[in-house]
Amino acid sequence: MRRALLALALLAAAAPPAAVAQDDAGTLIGGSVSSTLSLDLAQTGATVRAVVTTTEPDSRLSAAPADGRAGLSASVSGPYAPLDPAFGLTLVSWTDVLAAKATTLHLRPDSPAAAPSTVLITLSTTTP
Amino acid sequence: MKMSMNQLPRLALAAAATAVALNASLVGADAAGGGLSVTPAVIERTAVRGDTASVMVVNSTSQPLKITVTPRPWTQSRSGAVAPNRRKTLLSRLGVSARSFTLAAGARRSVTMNVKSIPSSGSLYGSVETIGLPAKAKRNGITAAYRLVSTLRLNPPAAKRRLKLRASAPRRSGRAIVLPVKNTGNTVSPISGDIRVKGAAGTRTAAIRATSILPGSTVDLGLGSAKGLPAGTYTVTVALKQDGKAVLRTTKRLRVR
Repeated sequence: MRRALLALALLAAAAPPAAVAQDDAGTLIGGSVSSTLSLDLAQTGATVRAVVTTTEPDSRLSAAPADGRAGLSASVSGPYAPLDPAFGLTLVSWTDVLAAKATTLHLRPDSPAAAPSTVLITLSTTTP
Repeated sequence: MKMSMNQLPRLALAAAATAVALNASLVGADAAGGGLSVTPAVIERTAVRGDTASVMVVNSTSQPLKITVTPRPWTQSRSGAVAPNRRKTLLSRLGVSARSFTLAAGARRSVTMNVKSIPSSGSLYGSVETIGLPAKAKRNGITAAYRLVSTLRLNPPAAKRRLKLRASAPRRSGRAIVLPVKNTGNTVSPISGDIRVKGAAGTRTAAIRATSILPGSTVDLGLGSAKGLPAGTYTVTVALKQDGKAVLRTTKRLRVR
């Protein structure tokens, strides 16, 4: 009995997230789904609202120049910091799974006469 | 294995996160936003040449996106943080069925990766970078684009699994005491352990937080704060374990000035 309970607990811990519902007739409807990373961006001028959904407990939101060149900065809640061309700039880190977590960030070129540029808003897992 | 009560909210949140992601992927182009998503976030399996794995890319935004899928190796800093190495790819070892394509608003596409070769170590660890650029970029100003970085773990077969660590001398790094540890094995199984610091004033013990170290990388494991440690010489004994097995036990000297 104890072994069976342990096996059930192990299965519950190891299985992908599952969603189960019960209809009026008492039938269980549901199933397991794979892990997911989802990012939604809404840009208004230099302000970007990023909405994050992740089933991974450790994740990070960062920004990096798409062309790998310097000259851009970003801020979440504080002073602007430059985007490192190679590593980008970590904006927020989380240690739990997230469902539609919103973060507002601000982007700006370091020079007012800068050429049009693309910034990669990055949602990544942090465990190799 | 114990399951604590505080894991239950996490499981519930994971289910909610999945429901939100699935809903976002189903509402399609008419929805306000919805974003770009990849499933699964982690591909983990035993490394076998010829094996395949698929990633589903879903565009739930209201505009077409130019998608690029690239497997890349990680770079790991001394703090343990990892990021995809944007100067390198794993394309010589992993074939990708569709590296770049345009994904219409509300559309989805499955991208298959095929393991072409495995390093002699028997394992392969990296990231899968999925970039989504708006098909119509702004003519001036800054355009925000999507980048999702998922994890690829091709673990060595059980017979080739090697748990091996090498530690250097502990040192102060700012206010903390750290122990540089190199993973000379071939897995990324988290490394945890215990530390005992013995000096003239007594003995301190602490646990080392579980950290994953890439094979061949060195990470400074935090051994605790140096605050309150009087100047002197200490004997530091560290016991590290991986996969529940004792992998390294070492005693080193630490001088605090």
